[in-house]
Amino acid sequence: MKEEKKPAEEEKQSLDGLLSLLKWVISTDITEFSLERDGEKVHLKRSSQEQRLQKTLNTIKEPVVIASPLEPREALIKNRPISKSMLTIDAPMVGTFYRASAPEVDQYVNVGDILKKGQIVCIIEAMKIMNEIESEIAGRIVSILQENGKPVGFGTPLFEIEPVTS
Amino acid sequence: MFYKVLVANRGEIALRIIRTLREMGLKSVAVYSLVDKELPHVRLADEAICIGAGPAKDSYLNEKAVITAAEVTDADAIHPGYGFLAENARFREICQSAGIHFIGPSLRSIRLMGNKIKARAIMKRRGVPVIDGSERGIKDPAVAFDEAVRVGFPVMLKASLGGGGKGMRLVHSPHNFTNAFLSAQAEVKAAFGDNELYIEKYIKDGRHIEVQLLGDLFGNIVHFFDRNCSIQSSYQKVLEEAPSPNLLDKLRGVLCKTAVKIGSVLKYSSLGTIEFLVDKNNKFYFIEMNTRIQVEHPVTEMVTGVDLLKEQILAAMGKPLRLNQNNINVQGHAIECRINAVNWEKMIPSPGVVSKIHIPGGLGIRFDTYLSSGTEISSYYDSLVGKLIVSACNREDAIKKLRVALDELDIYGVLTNKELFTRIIKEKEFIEGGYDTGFFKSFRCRCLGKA
Repeated sequence: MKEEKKPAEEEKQSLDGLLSLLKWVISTDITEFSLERDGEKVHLKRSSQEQRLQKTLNTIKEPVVIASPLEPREALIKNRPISKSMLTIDAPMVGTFYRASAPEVDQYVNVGDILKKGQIVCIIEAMKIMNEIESEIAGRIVSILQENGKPVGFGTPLFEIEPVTS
Repeated sequence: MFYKVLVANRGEIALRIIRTLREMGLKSVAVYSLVDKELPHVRLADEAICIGAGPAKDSYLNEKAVITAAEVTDADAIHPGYGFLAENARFREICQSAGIHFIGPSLRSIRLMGNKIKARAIMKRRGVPVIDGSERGIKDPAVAFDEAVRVGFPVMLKASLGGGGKGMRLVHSPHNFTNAFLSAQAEVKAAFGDNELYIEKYIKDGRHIEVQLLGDLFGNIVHFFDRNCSIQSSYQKVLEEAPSPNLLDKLRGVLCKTAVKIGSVLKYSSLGTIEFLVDKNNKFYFIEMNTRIQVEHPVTEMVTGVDLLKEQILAAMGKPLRLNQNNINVQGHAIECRINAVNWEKMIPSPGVVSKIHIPGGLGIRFDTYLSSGTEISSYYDSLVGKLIVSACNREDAIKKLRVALDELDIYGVLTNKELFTRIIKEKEFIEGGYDTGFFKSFRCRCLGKA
């Protein structure tokens, strides 16, 4: 008896083919791509390379460094290209960075929030004193560059802000 | 036992401390200001943390930032080096309440010796000779004038919370006294936030001779003999040597014994220095005590073979002294030149970028510096950029070696006072070793006259 392909397997093969096709498209600079075959229709639309880079940057989370917590962190931030149009809120003092006033309460701010000038964004603990840090700029929080509860030095970037013009 | 030590300083001394910590197998934390990011102490420490902007008051003098840096990095001790927070009683107290060891003497010792008038009173009570002068601090120029007349001109004005030559003035006659007093007060107010001064009779042709002490928490105290620091420019040391040339052995013995006595009275438990003035007739007077490691400590290290900084750290850890007085001997002779980034003729700082540097080397030559090619010398801080230290079996050979080492030292891109030393060591008075605190001023006048 001639072996018949099971429908599930057939579907998988067609999907594999599509995936490798898509991989190839992604490897190029093509931003829009359409395919029609056997009644199936695929349309792919991508953002430009520049937009993609920015998106990748925005999702970079700071790595957890255990051995030597300070230098690698600072080196990382220094080397990381922050787009010219972006601003940062930097630590005004050395201390421990906290995103909320207490563990059980909500964080002051989150990614995507629109900040007003003077809004409290975090706490830096120095000499047992909780210093509320206010934003000196208005804008949208694109990313949070430091991990809660970790030491930060003077001038360490804490938040990446996209200025909002109103 | 310490696990991790935070070094609350910069430049050559931060590097000196970190090297010893590494040797001892201890972890180190460097602190730095925004402008010092590229300095070697930041690179060589196990961890580094930025504590503030360039001006010292925002960073290295910022007590809160330094303590917080120690807390967030879990450092269990702080080494303050010299200058900045090294003799700051309040900072010493903050360390204590934060549960962080301070590598230095007790709070009591810092307080007692930090107030120069109190220190003089203690010495007087214990029979240590002090220079005739005021018993109390003075803020009122009229009161000060009466006191100066009583002591007799010429007089020296000094700051009660003295240090670094701040507020020091030599006043020859009554008619320029009040102006000198007011300008000294303004200088001291800016430096220490207090404008109290005191008056001492001026002793002409004195020699500045100091004795290095080390104590532990068990009441043991030893000395490492003497250094001569009589070559001073505006009350700032320029060149130091150990042992002091032309010092009678008997007097040396008395100075060292007196220093140990002072250390014992204070129950002194760290590295410290007793400064004396020795006059033409070999009479000596207590000037003050420095409760920190000093800039010129290497000359003592070179002739005794002891790493003073290491012993200081061990004492702070609560270890009993490893040395007893009988094991401490002076061998040969050492001289230190403080290399400053200055225009030495005009006496103005010369900050900038070191484009190229050649550091001398060889047997008996040590150059403690934070410079390398490309280092930026910031105008925020002291102009000391390096210490050239030479040692040889005797003074004559040490001077020869110093001449060669100075010749070899090249620093391009900024001005330095190297030339000054090349000239000093050719002076007859220097070669003979009988120079006093008046030497530098007359030498400089001669230099500029000829130049």
